[in-house]
Amino acid sequence: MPKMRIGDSFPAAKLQDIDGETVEFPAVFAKAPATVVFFYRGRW
Amino acid sequence: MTAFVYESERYVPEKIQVLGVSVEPAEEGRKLRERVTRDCQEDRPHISLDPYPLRLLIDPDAKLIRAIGAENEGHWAGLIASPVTYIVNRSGEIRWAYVSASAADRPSPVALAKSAVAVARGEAPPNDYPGKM
Repeated sequence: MPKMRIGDSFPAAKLQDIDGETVEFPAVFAKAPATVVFFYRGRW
Repeated sequence: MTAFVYESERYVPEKIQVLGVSVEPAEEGRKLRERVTRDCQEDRPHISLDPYPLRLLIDPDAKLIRAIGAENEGHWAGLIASPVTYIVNRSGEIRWAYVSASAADRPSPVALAKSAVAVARGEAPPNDYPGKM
């Protein structure tokens, strides 16, 4: 069950995108006035 | 994912970024992007895909997925992410959330986009579609 609630700060993490570029959370949020983050299952 | 691309005309003018996270290898993510691109070019050729309206991120060890509590350890396919959608403001604060009951349970694409636009403008998300926790 997701732990994060409205008003919480998004956790820190460093990931790569599918083109190999590094994306750092939460710094990436400063790049846009709003960000939609969706988690999806994959492994179809 | 297709819905985000098809609704990109609501996101792009507001400079809203869209990030998708899964445990899938990068190669599978690129295949998914290619499929969605082909569908969009056929169904809605007026939509610009340059720059591409969303980024897919890989979380192979599920570090971020575990940090938000969306890990599904018991799936037949192995560890996967349970479907969850957040809208986050520039400060990194979660302003809206939709916790899906199943893979088929997704937020309304239009309502989600309207909520994201409100957050981008510094407003509260509309009360008529409050999300789901």
